[in-house]
Amino acid sequence: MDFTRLLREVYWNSLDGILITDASTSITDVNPAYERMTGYRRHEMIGRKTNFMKSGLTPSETYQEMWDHLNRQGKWVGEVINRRKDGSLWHSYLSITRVLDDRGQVAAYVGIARDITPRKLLEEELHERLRELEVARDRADTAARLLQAMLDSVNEAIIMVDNRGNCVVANHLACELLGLDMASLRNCSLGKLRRAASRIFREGGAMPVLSGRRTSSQLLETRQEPRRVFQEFSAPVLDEAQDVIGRLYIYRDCTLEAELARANAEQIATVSHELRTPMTSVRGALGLLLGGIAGDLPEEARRLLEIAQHNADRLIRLINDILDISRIEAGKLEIHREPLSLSEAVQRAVAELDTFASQHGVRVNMELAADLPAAMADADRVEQVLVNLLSNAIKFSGRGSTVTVSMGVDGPHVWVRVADQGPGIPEDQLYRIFEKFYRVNSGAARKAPGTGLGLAICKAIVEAHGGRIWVESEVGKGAAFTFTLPAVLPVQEPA
Amino acid sequence: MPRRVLLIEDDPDIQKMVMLSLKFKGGHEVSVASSGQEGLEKAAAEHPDLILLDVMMPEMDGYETCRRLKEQSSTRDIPVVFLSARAQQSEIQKGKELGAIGYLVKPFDPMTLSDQLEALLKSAGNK
Repeated sequence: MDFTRLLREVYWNSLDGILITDASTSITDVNPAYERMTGYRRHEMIGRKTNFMKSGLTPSETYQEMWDHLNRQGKWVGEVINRRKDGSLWHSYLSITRVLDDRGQVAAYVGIARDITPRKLLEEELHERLRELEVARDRADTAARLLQAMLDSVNEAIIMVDNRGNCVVANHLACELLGLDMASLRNCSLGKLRRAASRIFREGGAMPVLSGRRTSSQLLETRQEPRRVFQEFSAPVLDEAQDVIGRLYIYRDCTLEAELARANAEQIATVSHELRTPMTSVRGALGLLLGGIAGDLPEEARRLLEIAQHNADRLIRLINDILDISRIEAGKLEIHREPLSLSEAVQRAVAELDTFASQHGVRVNMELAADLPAAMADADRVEQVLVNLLSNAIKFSGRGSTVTVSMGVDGPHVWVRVADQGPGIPEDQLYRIFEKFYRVNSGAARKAPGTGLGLAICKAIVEAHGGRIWVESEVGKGAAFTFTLPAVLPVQEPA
Repeated sequence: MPRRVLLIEDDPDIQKMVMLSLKFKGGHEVSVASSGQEGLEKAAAEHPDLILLDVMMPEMDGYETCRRLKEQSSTRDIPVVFLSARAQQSEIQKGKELGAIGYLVKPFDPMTLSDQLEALLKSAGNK
């Protein structure tokens, strides 16, 4: 085939754009591919200088380099950014060759252009993504550093294990506590952590393996002297979807608190002893005198001794109430739970107050429920609550009135209600009734003796059992105190 | 039935109170020791029917005294009742674990003390 024809075919059908200019860079011809790339028609370009397509975005150094190469070597390959007819930008991978005539003068420049705009856009997007990734990585690094700094600033040793049981987060106090460096602690298996913990703590069972959403809390003492006491708390770690993604173990050094609590408990015991011992002598001497140890007493003397005994009893009750409140506030209220028949507890409390009720001319009506489930409760403490509520109800009821004790079951709880026909409690004072030392401000209440601690103690006892206590009352229509306790429910047989 | 009771208690007023109370109600004969050590010696020498034992005493407390009483073959079988101002459930439990047959809390009613001791002895099968 004729070479000239071959060249023509290439020129017209090439996918690369071909641009030919004279020595002064005026366009003398372009091929159809170049028309497609620029959006200009051939006749719109011929005769114009090539710089009419410049976008202004190609660095001037590029053109400088281009002319240097063309003048010295006769060719240049590089990238420029041009503007299409519609104003849009396109990236051109351009190869220019200088054509000389027989005399060595520049006859023409032939440029072969390839539209690399899509590749450039991809590259830019890639760079943008890489920049974003870098920013995200920096942010993640900063967040991790902040999190670690925060973890290292708290006073608790913190360890998190993932669902496979590998340590994924730990702070410096955790390293210190377990005697491991951070590198060893991270990725350490729970089994290894548990072995490390068992070397540190006297009690077995540190770092319990718990499934699901269970939480645990326990006190642990170190083996090494001086002994330190730690509160271990374990809880599941949930993600945004509330799925369990691991487990957290937190150790708080509560050595000082434990010592204070011990000292406080000891103090309570000492005060208890110091107050009860003289009262034992006072109460005992009065009891023996009134019991006839010194023979029959003159009527006046007997009456005075009865007043003394009555007030000694009041003082003993006050001491007992104050000691109970102190124990409650020191977190030392002891609750020994066992299945308890509420009917029997009510009958015992009513029997204890039988004389008291007769003295006040009040009848106590028991509405017992025979088939009631047992309560899981401390018998002595529940009786203390019942005696307190009943004696209040009796005290505030008028002669000839009735106090009613009823009971029932409500879901997982059993309840007891003590209702009186007394003067009732003003509505604005109902919410304060369970406060320590609060006494209802009414004529009847002022006349009735009491420490103002009984209901606060009742509330603490009931709540320590996981129950609730409340009052319903209307002035002139009596008051009803209700408390709930967890019931011992029969185990459901699997279907 | 009158009994021979050994009271181990450091407070002189309570000593008198218990002596008067048990003599007046029940006609019991009460011997007194003012410390744990003295109590151990008197228990071994007198072998009483019952020991009433205070908890909070200087030097040797009631729990330690009880532990030693139960260690000695000569005093092991003597029923012990704690008489204490410490009324916490855990302390009552501790007393029972040491082998006491009962735990009475101060202040007690002097007119019913004798009856309470008799009831404890009865329920412990020592009557």
